[in-house]
Amino acid sequence: MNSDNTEINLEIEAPLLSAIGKSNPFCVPENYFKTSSERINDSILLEKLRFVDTDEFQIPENYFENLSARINSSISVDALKLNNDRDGFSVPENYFAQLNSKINSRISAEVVSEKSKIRTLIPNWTKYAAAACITLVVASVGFYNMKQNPLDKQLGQIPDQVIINYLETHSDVGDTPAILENLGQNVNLADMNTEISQEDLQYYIDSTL
Amino acid sequence: MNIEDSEILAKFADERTKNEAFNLLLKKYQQKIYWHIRRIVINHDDADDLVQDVFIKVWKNLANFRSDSQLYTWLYRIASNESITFLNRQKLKNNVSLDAEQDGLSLADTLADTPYFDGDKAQMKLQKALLTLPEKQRLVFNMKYFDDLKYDEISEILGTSVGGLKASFHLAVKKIEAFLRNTD
Repeated sequence: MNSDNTEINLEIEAPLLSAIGKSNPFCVPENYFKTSSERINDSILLEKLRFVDTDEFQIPENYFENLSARINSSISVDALKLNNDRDGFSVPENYFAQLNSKINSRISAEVVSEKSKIRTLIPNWTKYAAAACITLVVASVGFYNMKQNPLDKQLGQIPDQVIINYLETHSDVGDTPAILENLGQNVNLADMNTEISQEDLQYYIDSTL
Repeated sequence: MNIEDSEILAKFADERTKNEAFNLLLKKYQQKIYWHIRRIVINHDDADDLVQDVFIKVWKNLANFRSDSQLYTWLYRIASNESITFLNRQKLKNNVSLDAEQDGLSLADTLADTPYFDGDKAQMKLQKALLTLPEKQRLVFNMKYFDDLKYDEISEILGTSVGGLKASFHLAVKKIEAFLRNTD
């Protein structure tokens, strides 16, 4: 007698379950079991290689014996740094909490100050005034140049021969100072008289009187 | 080909025939172990990963296997432990409640989504009923009902007394029958 099946009669106690049967409703991809051995062997091969690789790594002598001590000392150093990161100096309570707002308010005040200076010292109309002044100066200089020695400029435009011809026919004694003035700034009439020869004077008298 | 477990173990002990022995073991047990795992975790891909994990463990530890237990009960024990560990990890990962009802709902979603299910409506309903059971009760039912293992063998696999297993199986049958009767 099978003792396992004496405990429960499924057809009587669980007729709905018994009616469904024991067939397996799950399925697997095509050829899954044909290739599963190969995949498992591949996995095992990888495991073997992993163990081989682990053995190939070398560590310094007594590495693990000293490892705990080194880790603990590193932790201690870090903790020490954390506790002494201000090199013994201290700050008033809530200093850093207020510092940020202090700096921001200072910066805001600076910005406002700079903006007001710009408005008062350099008004917008000054650039137009400067341009007008420059234009006025340039115009004045040009006008002055145009007005200076108009006779000189007009005479400068007349050919020399025409002037000589004119003087030969129209000049008189009263023209002499003007002629001498135009011959040079430092000409002295007395000096000139001394240098004029008798022939020149005769020639002048003959031709003009 | 139906090679004895003792012959597989003997070949595995010899370094020259170790790989041959392992391939024989794979051929003999891989499908049984796969279906055992698949009924627990439902999803094929999860079952595939777990089968590989199980046989990697077998390969590592088979040399230390003591012949005071059956080879296949040892394999089932490894497969059961791996599967339960996997489900517990999944619960933590998904932040799912540890109670049976919540666990069943999560696996029921997996059941509904799995592409590798070709059962009819009644079989789907049975699987949903199974997923309402606590994990260990579901294990006992699967091994007794689908794998036709004896209580002694299940006891060896799960480390539970035969009396406790009988009670557990009886309770599972009652719950399943009630689910089938009361659910559309």
